[in-house]
Amino acid sequence: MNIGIAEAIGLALRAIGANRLRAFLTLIGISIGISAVIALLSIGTGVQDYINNQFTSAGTNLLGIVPGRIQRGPGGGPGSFGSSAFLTLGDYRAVVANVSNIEAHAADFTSTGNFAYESRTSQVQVSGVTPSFSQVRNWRPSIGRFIEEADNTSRSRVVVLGQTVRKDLFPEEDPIGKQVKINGLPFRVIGVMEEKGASFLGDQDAIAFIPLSTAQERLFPQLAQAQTGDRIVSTIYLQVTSDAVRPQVEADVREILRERHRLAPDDEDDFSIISQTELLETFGAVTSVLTLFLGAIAAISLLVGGIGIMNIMLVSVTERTREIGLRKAIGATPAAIQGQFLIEAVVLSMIGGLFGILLGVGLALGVTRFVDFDAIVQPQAVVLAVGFSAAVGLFFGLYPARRASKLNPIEALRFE
Amino acid sequence: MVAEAIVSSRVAGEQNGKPEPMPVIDVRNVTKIYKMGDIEVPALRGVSLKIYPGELVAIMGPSGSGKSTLMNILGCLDQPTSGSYFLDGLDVSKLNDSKLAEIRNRKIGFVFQSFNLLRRTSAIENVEQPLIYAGVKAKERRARAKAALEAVGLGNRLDHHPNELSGGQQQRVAIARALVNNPAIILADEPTGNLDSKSGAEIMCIFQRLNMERGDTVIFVTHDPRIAAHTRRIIRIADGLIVGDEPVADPLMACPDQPLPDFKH
Ligand SMILES: Nc1ncnc2c1ncn2[C@@H]1O[C@H](COP(=O)(O)OP(=O)(O)OP(=O)(O)O)[C@@H](O)[C@H]1O
Ligand SMILES: [Mg+2]
Repeated sequence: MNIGIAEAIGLALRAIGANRLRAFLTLIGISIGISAVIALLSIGTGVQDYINNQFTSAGTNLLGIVPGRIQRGPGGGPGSFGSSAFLTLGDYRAVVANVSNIEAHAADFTSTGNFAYESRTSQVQVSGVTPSFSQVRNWRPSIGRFIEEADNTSRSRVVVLGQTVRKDLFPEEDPIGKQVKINGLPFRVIGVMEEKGASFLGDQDAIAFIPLSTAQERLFPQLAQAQTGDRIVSTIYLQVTSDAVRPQVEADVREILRERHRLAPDDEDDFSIISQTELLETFGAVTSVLTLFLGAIAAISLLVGGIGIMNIMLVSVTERTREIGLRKAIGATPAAIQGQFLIEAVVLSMIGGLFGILLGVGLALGVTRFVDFDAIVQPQAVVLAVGFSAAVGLFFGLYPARRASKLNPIEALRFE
Repeated sequence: MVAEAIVSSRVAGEQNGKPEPMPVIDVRNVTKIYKMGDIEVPALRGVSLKIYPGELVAIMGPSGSGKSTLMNILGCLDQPTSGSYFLDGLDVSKLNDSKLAEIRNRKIGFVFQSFNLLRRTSAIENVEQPLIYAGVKAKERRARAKAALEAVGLGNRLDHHPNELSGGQQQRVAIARALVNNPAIILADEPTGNLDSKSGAEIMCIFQRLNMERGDTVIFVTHDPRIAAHTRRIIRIADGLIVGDEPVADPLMACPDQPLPDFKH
C-alpha cells in the first residue's frame, strides 16, 4: 500500500522545512549546476542568434577574399594569417571582369590612422574603399553621404567617419564640412556612418572611410605599393547572386588568382576566400569551447550537489531513525518509506533547480548586458533544467532511501 | 481478502453446534532466539497463548523476561524463530515485510512507553498518520482522527503540538493514533512507564472505556501491580516462559464518574 504523491510531497516539504538552513546549504551545489546549464543554453542560443543576425547585416551571400592563408588551428579553431602574400588592384579587376554571377563587388585598403580635430585626437582604422562598399557591406551613412565614384577618380581628401571617431572628435558639433587631419593630411568630413555596435570582431564603429585611390596613392603610398608597381588591396568583397552559385564563384576566383599569382599545381593558395558558412564554423568552434567550459562547471556542480544531497539524506535518515521506526510500526511499507525519502531528495533537488533557473536566467541576462547580444531563455532549457535536477535527486537519493526502507522497526524505535 | 479469512475462520470455530469464540491472538509454542555473534540469547523459550476478542490483559514479569520480545511478535514487528502465530485467524508468522506492514496498519494499534509522536506535528496530524498509509482520503482522515482524539478526551487539543502537551496527554494522542484505524488489537508496552500515577490512571480509564464500551481488545505490559489490577487477566512471564495466567476477580475501576464521550466510527 503506497501513499499518494500529494501526501508524499507534503511530508517532504515538511521535513525540508524543519531544517531550512541545512537544506539551503545543500541546495547551493545543485543551484550552481542548474544555473550553469541555464546560462549555457541561454547564452548559447543568444550567440547563435546573434551570429546569424551579424551575417545578415554584413550583407547576404558575401564572400571576402583576403591575402595569405587562414591557418586552421588544431581543434578546428581560428588560426593565424600565414604568408606575406598580398592582393592587388589588378587581382580585383581581373576577378570582377572574369567571374560571372557577381551582383556587386568592392575592395578596400585598410590601415591605421591618427585622427585630429582641433585639440582632440583619435586612433582608428582608416579604410580606403570603392563606392560600392556601402552596398556590399549593407552599411550606410546616417548623415551626409558615402564615398562616390567622382571622389575616387579625383583622389579627393574626403572622409566618412564611423561613430567612434565621430564621438571622439565631435562630441557636440556637427562634423559635416569640418576639416580633420589623418596622419597630418587634411580631409573634409562628408558623412557619418550609422552605428554598427560591437561584435566578436571588436568595435566595428572604430573606423573611417576615404576613397580607395586616396588611401593607396596619397595617405599610404608606401604601404599600398607592391613590388610589381601595382597597388595593394586588403580585401576584395564579392556579393554573389545566390547561395547556390557560391561554390562555383569560389572555384572561379581561385583559378584566376592562382594563375595571376603563378602558383604551381601543388602550391597552397596564398589567399583565402571567407564565406559566411566558414565564419559560422569558426565561431561555432569558439562557442563550443565556451559550451564545454560551462558544461564542465554544470557537470561538476551537479555531481557535487548530488553528493551533498546524498550526504544530507543519509544524515536525515539517521536523525529520523525513530520516526522511520514509528512509521513502519503504524503500517508504512518499505516501499512507502523508500518513496518518502526519494521524493524528499527529489523535492530538495528540484527546489535547488528552481533557484538555479532563476540564478541562471539572471546570470545570462547579466552577462549579456555587457555584450552586444541578448541571452535567449528557451522553455526547453527550463524543462531540461527541471528534469536534470529531478534526475540528480532521484539518483543520489536512492541509496539513502533504500537504507531507510530496510531499517528494522524495532531497532529503529529503540534508537537514541 | 483478509476480511474474508477472518469471517470464515470465525465460523470455523463452531464445535458441537455451539459457537466457540475464535481467539484474536493464537500463539503456539513460539520461541525467539537472538543471535549476538556466536552467543545465542533465548528471549522466548516456547510460549503458547490465546487471547479472545474483547479481553483486557496485563503482561507482567521481571526485567529481561521477554515481555517486549513477545509484544513485538504479537505486534508483527518481529518474527518468531519457531512456532506459529495466528492473528485474527491469519497465520502471520511467514509473511514478508510489506504484508506485515499492511497487517500492522489494519489490525494492530501500538502504544509505546515513550509515546513516539512526530515532533513539529499537531495532535490531529499525528493521529492521521496510520490513515495516510491506509490510503484514506484527506477529508475522511481529518474526521476520523478528530473522533479518535475526542474518544480519548482530547477534542479540545487537536492542533496542539507534542511539546505543548503533558506526558499523559501525549500518551492519549498515541492511543488515539493506535485506535484510529479500528484495529483488532491494541498493544501497549509499558504505556504508563513514563507517567505519574494520576496520568497512569487516566490511561487505564481510557483502556477500560475502550474495552467496555467499544469491545476493543487491549493487551499491555506493566511492572506496576496496581496498574495490572485494572484488567481482568494477568499473564506472568519469567525467563522466556509463561509462568502464570490468572483472571482478576475484582478489577479496579480507573475512571472517575463522568464518562468519556462516545466514540463514533
Ligand atoms: N535485539 C536483541 N538482541 C539481543 N538480545 C536481545 C535483544 N532484544 C532483547 N534481547 C534479550 O532478550 C531478553 C528479553 O528482552 P525483553 O526486552 O523482551 O525483556 P523485557 O521483559 O521487555 O524487559 P524490560 O522489563 O526490562 O523491558 C533479554 O535478555 C534481552 O537482553
Ligand atoms: Mg520491555
